[in-house]
Amino acid sequence: MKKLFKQLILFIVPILIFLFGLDYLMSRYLKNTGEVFGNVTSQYDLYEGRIHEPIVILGSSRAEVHIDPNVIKKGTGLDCYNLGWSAAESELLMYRFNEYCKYNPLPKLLVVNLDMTTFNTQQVERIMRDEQLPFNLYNFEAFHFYDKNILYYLIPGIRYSEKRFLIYQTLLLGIKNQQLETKRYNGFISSDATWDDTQLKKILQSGPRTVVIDSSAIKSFCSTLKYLQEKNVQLMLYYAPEQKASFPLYKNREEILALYQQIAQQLQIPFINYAQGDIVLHKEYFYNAYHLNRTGADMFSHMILNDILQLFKNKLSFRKQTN
Amino acid sequence: MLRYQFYQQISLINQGGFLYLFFSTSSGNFFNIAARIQQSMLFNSWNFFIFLIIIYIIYWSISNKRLKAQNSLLLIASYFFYACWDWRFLFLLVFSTFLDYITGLKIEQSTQKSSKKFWFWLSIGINLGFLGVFKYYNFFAENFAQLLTSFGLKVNVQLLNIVLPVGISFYTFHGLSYVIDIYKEKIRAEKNVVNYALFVSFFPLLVAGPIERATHLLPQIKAPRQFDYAKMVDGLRQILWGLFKKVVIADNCAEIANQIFTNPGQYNGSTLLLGAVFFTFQIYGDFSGYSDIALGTARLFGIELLKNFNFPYFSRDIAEFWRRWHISLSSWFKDYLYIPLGGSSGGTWMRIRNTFIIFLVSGFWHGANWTFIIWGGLNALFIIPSVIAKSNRKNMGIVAEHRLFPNIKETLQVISTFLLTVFCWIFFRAESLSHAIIYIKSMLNRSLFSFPSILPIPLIVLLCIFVGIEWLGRRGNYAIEKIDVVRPRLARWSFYYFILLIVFLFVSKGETFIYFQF
Repeated sequence: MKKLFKQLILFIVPILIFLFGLDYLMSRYLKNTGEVFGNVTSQYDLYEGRIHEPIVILGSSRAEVHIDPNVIKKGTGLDCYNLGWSAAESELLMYRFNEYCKYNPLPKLLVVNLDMTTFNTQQVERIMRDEQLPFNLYNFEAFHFYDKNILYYLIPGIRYSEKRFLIYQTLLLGIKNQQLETKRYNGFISSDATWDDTQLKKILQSGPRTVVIDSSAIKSFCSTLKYLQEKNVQLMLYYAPEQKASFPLYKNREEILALYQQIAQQLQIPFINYAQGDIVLHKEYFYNAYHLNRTGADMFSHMILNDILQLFKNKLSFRKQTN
Repeated sequence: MLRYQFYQQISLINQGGFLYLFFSTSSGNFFNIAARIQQSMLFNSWNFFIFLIIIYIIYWSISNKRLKAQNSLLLIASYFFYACWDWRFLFLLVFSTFLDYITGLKIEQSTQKSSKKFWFWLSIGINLGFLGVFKYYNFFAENFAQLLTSFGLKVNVQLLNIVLPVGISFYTFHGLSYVIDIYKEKIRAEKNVVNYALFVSFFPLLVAGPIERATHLLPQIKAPRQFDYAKMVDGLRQILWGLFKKVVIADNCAEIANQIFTNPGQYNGSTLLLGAVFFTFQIYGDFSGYSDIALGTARLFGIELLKNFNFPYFSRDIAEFWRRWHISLSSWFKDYLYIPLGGSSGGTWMRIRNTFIIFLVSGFWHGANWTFIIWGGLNALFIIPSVIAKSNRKNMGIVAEHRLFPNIKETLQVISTFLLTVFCWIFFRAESLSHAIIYIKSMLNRSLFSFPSILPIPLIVLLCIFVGIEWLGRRGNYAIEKIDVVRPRLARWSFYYFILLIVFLFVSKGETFIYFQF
């Protein structure tokens, strides 16, 4: 048996060298891949503790593509970072925010985007995204959140199994010492696409649906907000505009908006509902039912800016920039 | 319920962290732990890998040379392994084990023929009863209701909403063969309950075979087992090859095959043919991969299981294919059904009848669906000409045994046999008969000669490498068995690293093993 273990150890050593090497190279060069594998740049900013902006936007892709930190910065004189993350429901939002807090200072103002499905957490499958992979080694919060096999978090490199394209692209860029450009600015990225309702029509064909609210998700969301209030972080909740054609999709749309209002009142946090403004009538501002294009995002960022200026003028020291 | 929902359900819950249990579970009994792992003990999972290491170390270090301790440990490990699938069905397994253990003893102790018969039929009745209830009740009830409806009678049939216990067809067949052999006085009843329980429940073969015989496995369980370095390495090598077959070949083929089989109407004939070919490789990689891991795992504990596959896709006729595919099941049916029915000793009609019976029953064994019965029937149909011509035992050896390449005749025979099996697998894979017919209709038209709309080149390259390795290794018990003689060690190890690298890069998301549903 000793001989077997000796031989096995000898056999495993090169495998471990390969895995450690792969892990190191992937962590080092994935940041070069621009937008090919998702929101990589924000992940590096977050885990390398580079987000020191006093204003932070938190939310799903409807935050990510809607609020331009540059507009907020110009209007308030304060730097802003957009932590928006595609398909993020409340538990994923809280997880991301916790990760942010681990490596970065708390913001002065946290602006949180809410969606119809923010608290519909039960049906969401927690999929580990490519952009997260470099940061999951020995990351036990990630293990508890994603609940994959713990070996993925303990043994370097294993997380990259099956990711042939990711490995190939990343290492190729690394070898060439090349960095792909990203159009992202402080987490924000906008789209020039024009209105397309193909997807919406498809979804609407299956009839209106009812959003199931997970009360435990609301509870944990509220307790995080309370904690932030105790830490003197200013908070603002908002509901971003959706194109009017999408309104029939959710049966309990009004109930959910009322619920958000109620949460905001209980916590004494301002809640701005943009669901009924003029913007929702104009298809030219959207590229699909739930996402504003560049023009729409610019307009909406100014709307958010105005509300921030009004709501927090006595609480934050704004320094409006002239250019 | 669609058959393939079963796979999805299993793969969705196959996310438990086994090692996490050892970190986080300070208390908890056998069932708690098993329930927390849930159905995550797939042979291709990390959970199984860790489970295997732990049991292996305890087995050879603590209980080395102490047979009782070794067998007890393996039995506990096997029950734990089974409980991870669904602990409630562990009671069924234990009940079935005790039933056959006791009836075996009673049959042997009975001095009167009537008493012997009573215990024999009691065991057969209860065993088949369990299979009937869990596996076939809904099928018969639905078809009975449909039959009555066709006569204008409306009946409201009560269907059972139950889950098929994993491995029930396999361990029931273990028990049946044991009791039949005792009844026919071929073997003596096993007195030691642990030995018998281990024969039924030994974890490598528990959920999908090979279907063992008491004459083969029980003597090994009762004999002292010594650590053998060469055997251990051989076991690990077979596990590695099985893993490659499963996670690289089967699971990657499954992705394409599932896509094509889901909407056959969307694809042209050549794509559908390709889909059927991918499924042909999927099921082979899946089941023979499972069998390789099972055989390799058992060998790690010093136990040799029955060979289940012998390079079936290199067969020159269907009869040869069936001597090489799922060998343990084919031989079970041959010994306990075909021969008692008269086998091939009678006239031509009797041989034809018996061949049809054995293939239809074999098809039905796979599942309560007409698709399996038709699959069995088609195989019988393809084998009948050789049965009539008495040429079904013509190709007993290995194709091109002493040559590197087959001759033209052998090549054509192998390709035509392969295409016949591809055709049969369409019924095996289809959700229903109508699904199979739509698939075949859409495939067999002019578009069969057009360019396929799906052509996954990397997967096709992998399949070529796979077939090449299998061809070169067809003289061994498994394809890479003879790599052991390659010198120097660096060359041999480089090959293992190459296989591991492909596994690492091409591992596909956890499809469960197809044969777990049977």
